[in-house]
Amino acid sequence: MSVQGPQQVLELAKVSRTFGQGTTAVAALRDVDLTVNAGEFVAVMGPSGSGKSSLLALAGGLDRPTSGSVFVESTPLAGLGLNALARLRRRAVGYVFQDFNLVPTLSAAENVALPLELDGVPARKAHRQAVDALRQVGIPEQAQRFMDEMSGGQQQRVAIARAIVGSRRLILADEPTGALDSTTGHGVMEVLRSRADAGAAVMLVTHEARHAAWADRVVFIRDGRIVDEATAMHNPAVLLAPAG
Amino acid sequence: MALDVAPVPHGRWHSFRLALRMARRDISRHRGRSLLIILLILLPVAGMTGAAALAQSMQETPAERVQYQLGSTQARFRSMPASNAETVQDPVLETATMTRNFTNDPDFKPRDPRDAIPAGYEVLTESQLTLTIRTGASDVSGSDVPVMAKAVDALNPAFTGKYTLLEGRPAAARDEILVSPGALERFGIRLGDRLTTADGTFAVVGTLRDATYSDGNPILFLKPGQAAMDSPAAQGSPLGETMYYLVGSEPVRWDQIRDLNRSGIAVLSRAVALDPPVASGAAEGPGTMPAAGYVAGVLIAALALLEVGLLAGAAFAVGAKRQVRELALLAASGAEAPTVRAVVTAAGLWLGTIAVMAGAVLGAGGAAAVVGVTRHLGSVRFPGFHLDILPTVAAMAMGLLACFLAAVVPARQVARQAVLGALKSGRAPAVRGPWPARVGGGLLVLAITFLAAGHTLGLSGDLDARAARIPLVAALLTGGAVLAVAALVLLTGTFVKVLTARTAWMPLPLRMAARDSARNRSRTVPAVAAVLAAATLASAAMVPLRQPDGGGKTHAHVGRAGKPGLPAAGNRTGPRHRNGPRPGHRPGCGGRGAAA
Ligand SMILES: Nc1ncnc2c1ncn2[C@@H]1O[C@H](COP(=O)(O)OP(=O)(O)OP(=O)(O)O)[C@@H](O)[C@H]1O
Ligand SMILES: [Mg+2]
Repeated sequence: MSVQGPQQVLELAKVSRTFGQGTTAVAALRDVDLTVNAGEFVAVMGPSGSGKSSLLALAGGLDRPTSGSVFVESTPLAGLGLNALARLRRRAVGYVFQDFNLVPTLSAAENVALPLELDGVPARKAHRQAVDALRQVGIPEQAQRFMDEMSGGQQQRVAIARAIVGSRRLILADEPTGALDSTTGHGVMEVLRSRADAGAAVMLVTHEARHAAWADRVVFIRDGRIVDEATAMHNPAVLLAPAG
Repeated sequence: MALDVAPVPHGRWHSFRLALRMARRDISRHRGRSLLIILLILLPVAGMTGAAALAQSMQETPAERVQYQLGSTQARFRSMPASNAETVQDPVLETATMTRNFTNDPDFKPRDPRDAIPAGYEVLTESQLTLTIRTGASDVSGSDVPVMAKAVDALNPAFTGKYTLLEGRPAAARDEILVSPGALERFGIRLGDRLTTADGTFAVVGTLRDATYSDGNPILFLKPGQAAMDSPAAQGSPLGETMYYLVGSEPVRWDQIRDLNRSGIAVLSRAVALDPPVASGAAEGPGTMPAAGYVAGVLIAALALLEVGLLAGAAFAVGAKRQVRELALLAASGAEAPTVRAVVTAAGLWLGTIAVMAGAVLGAGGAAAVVGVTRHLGSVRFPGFHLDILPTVAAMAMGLLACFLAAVVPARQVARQAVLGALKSGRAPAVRGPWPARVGGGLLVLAITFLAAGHTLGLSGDLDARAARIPLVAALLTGGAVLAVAALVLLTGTFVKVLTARTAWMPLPLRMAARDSARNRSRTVPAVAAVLAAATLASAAMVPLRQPDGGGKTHAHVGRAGKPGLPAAGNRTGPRHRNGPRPGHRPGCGGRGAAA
């Protein structure tokens, strides 16, 4: 590939996602076009039920679109089988879920090391990288703890550490700061920002304008459609107001 | 730059190790469920291992027969009932004979075994005779009781392993004898007391254990010549027979035995029995088990395994549903379907391995304890502890297989569904249609038919016809029981649904309980199934026990000597010379079995 122009890490082209069929069908996303480049930090905002989580799931290869296509690192996800998709997730995508993030039978460090271990990285090396990632999110001392021994905020930070560990270039975070106080939330934003500065494509779903302010670009979704893109964020609160 | 999504080399093995670790953690996190699964598989495996070991322990090995019958002597000679020179004995069970010629040869003159003993051996004799005991205080109220006696130098070092002094001291004076513990009890005497027989009065100075008879049998042990050998009771009775034990270093060979057979002499030789030159037809084998017992045993084993599969499967299903979100998260983090399956399967293999090993050890240990205690108490029901390897390995393999299948089925379900859906709901989709109820109903009808047919066949016709149908009846009843369990398990879900459908009128606690069992049927069903399976298993186990032959094995050879299936009444009254087996018989037959 040529080096001219910004590298596209994530590309959604005319993506629609409909849940259910017939009269009960819910269109979560309609004809969404979105591109996130390497080194770019994009915030996704929108009212509850607007399709933010659905968008992230499609971008992360957790779900398949009803129509349209998704490319991660120029690889069309539609062409991948279930197992190849799983390999893509662990090699290219870091994902932080809205809730329930950790495998209860694994310690914090093992949870963070999971994508690496699944990809065949020797356990010792994976553990070292995992502790590094935990240090970045500020909880290296929690490495040996299990899910039920940590607070909600600590669990969330472990999940963020798992999303940034290794060399993955697409980081998707679905309201990762929901359980965090403002200081810790600030810390998480710093981590995501630094990953973007280091060349990763970061997509963050958030309700909070002060977090969206860390982003290079804010994408606003309503009823499954991208309604506005603000390149420079001036007053995101306006976008959150109920539609007129 | 396109992304590399090729599998990693050795990735399978790598992720399987991860799966094993997660499975181990999962087991230790959910101890109760793990223990339940282990118990569900352990118990049937232990039961089958133990039962097989006990059945096998009732069979006497040639080595045991040699020890119990010969002590440390080389061989024993006795006369063989033969009508011509063509009768051949079995190399291990010398009283079992075969011939192709049943004609009575008038020129055939059996030799006296005493005259046929080769030179170079010291000879010990053992004669069986019947003594008459006068019981009761006075001559008027007393009655004559026949009792078996052996005239043998029992404590000769050559009989080590055959006769053991339990209490008291060896008999020294001419009027001193040893008796079996059963004789003390039977005649209400103690060591030092005197016992009056028709052949004189003897002082009982010690108790002796005869390795071929249970301690409970009343037997008197005299020295050769201590009582009249040619008393009327001894004449013409097989009990009056004298056997000759050869003490020496030279083994008695099979060709010698074949020669002696032609002279009407049967020989039990240590060397030949331990290394039989021809297959011993009389020794153990499946043929020694009555067909009905065999069929019933196989079906009960099948039922036990069915229970294992059902319960373990249900238990794993419960676990897998709880694991769904966890597994979905694993998949979201990039685990391929085989890895996800491996996590649940690995837990199954861990638990299954622990369970079948513990089950086999427990079953074998339990059987060994039973054999040990029974032998210690002086019973010859179990000649020795023999582990039956084949059924044990089969039970272990089946237990492991049941565990594996039980684990892999829900794991497949988890791995197949969409990651997102599993993550959101945390529940595997309910894909069960009405088929379990339909199949269950069909099976139930079939089971009732089987049971009714078995019942009718088992109770109609005369005794002989019924006896001939025992295998069929046992198969029908046990098969019906298996089907009934399967049917009831399939129907349990429907039962629960129907029973919990209209709950609005119930008081709140009951309503909550009903909703809970209805919404978590995967948890309710195994509980109900466990009770059903256990109850059916228990009732099926009763079937062979109620058969006329009482589940005891009858030896083909005994069938010739006495009446099969009629336990000798001699257990309490002493001698068995009416319908008991002939002396020198393998233990466990006739009336010799019970210790108490
Ligand atoms: N598995 C599903 N089945 C049916 N409908 C679904 C499913 N997932 C999402 N939806 C619907 O799709 C729409 C978008 O849901 P989504 O979770 O993307 O919203 P969201 O923007 O993330 O909301 P929130 O801010 O509350 O998390 C909603 O109307 C939701 O009801
Ligand atoms: Mg959401």
